[in-house]
Amino acid sequence: MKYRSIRVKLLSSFGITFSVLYALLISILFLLASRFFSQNMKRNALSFVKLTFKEVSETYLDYYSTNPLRFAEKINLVLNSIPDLSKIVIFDSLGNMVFSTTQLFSKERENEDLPLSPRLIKSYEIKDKLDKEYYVLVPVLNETGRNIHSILYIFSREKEFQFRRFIAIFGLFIYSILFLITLLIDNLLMGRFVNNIEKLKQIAESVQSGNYSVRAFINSGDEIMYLSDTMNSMLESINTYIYNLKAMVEELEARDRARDEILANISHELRTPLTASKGYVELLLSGNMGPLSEEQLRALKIISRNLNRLEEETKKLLYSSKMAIENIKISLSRIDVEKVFAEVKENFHNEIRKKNLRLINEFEAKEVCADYDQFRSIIENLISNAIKFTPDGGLIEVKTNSEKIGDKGYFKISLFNTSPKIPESDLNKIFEPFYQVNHGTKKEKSGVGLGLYIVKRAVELHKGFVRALNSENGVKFEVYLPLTEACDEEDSGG
Amino acid sequence: MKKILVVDDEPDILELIKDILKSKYDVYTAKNVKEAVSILEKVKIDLIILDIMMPQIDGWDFLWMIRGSEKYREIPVIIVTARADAEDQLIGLKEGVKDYIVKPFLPNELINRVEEILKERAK
Repeated sequence: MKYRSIRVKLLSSFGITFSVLYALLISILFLLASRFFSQNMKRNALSFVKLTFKEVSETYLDYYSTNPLRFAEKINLVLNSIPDLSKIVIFDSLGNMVFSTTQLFSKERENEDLPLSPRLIKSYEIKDKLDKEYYVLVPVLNETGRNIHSILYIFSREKEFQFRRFIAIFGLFIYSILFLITLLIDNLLMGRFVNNIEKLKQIAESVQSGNYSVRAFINSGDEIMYLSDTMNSMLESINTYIYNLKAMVEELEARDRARDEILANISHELRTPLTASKGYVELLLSGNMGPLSEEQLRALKIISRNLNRLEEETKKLLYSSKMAIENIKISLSRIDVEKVFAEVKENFHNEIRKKNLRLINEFEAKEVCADYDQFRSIIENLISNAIKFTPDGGLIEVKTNSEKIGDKGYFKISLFNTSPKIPESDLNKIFEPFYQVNHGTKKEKSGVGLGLYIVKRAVELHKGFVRALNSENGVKFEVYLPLTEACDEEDSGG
Repeated sequence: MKKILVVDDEPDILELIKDILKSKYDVYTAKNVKEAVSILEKVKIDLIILDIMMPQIDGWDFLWMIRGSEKYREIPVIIVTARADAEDQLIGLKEGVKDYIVKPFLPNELINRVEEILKERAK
């Protein structure tokens, strides 16, 4: 829809209405005026005729045949006494023209073009010809009532036409002035109205750009005022909602922080008893506290293994709390990917053998510049997660390579493992803390669901990203760490 | 035998460290900073193992005290902490701490660190 401002729309609709109205009005005035003018002319002509026809008739009777000069003089006097009278014609009783005033000015007796036979014209009646002139025919009767001759007055309508032309032009002029004045007045009258609408428009625009504190102050006492009041109260409630939402978000964040704090505290608190227990188990196992029987050694090993698991979970718990994450600063160094991988693989040796998993790897990119602890944690948690969810006899495949996305280079780790598919809607959720994929068979559940969350956090510390996708026969995890030259600089800097 | 002072508010940890080190060193234990100071006054200590999180006067305060005194300034300190945050490590090393160990630790780990530091000092 094309944009046209209300001002223009109103002005054009007013303009059209008024121009039609004015046109009607002025045409009516024009008709009335010209009618009045021509009637006036006719009346004047008639009264002139009434005044003069006797004199003309007598002059004709007295002098026409006897003293033509005198006759001409007299008749000329009549002719000139009124400017509109253009001609006087005299017919005999039979209707033949005997005299016309044109004869006074030209020697020839012209064959004048008279439109009507005088017989057909009744006395005093004016037969309007639409063009130049009109006629008044006066039959002159003698005492017995017989027509002795008729006098025809021909009046020019030149003046009337002039008047009509004049008032037409004048009317057009008035019309344009009126039209302009109307537009001006419209504009003045609509000004406030349109301004108010524009105010509302501005307010709507600033609300659109996120400023909810604007208010409309319109006191026009009409729908616009109502609209602006409604808008104000709407904005008021939006403000309140936003305020409440902010408060809610703050509260949730505070709760989140409190949770993290509690997690951090719990894991701190757990460390002391863990340290004491583990320490003594190790001391006992090392034989420093006296010899142990086979049975006792086996029991201690089980205790030790479980304490290690407890420790791992505690670490993850602490690690997952935002507080701990926020305090972590990464220090980049060049890392031998193969070595880290080999170490991690060694750590999970027992689990891998127990589940009879095949773990294969292919390192196209052998070095990465990253934080060592974080990088190791990424590999550890990815592999630990894969071991957990790969069915017995399954395959785990780890690859690294460099990849370009746009104009940014990444070190990419991709880990594939055979496993049931993850529901598409859950692919993003698996990186959330405490998330457990529900595979239908619940036997694989173990840990508190922090592994992938820790991977995500560690990757994000490097400003990288991580994603999971279902692929044929399994699930694929891809970690992208941005390539950086920070390590090179350190080397060259010594 | 070298003399080692262990300061920790947890009796079990005190005992554990003592048991780990007692075969090779004279181990003195202190439950709090007050006890630690009185031991420092009586015995010539070669190394201090210090827990950072203690009630009332904590490990940092004690560290300040040692670093501030002519007599004890040179004694190497190993910090034991449950907090693995990078920031603690940074502050620790700045304060002239020789090393830090994060709980939970393995007996061998502790023995190795202590031996290394004492060897370095002997040179």
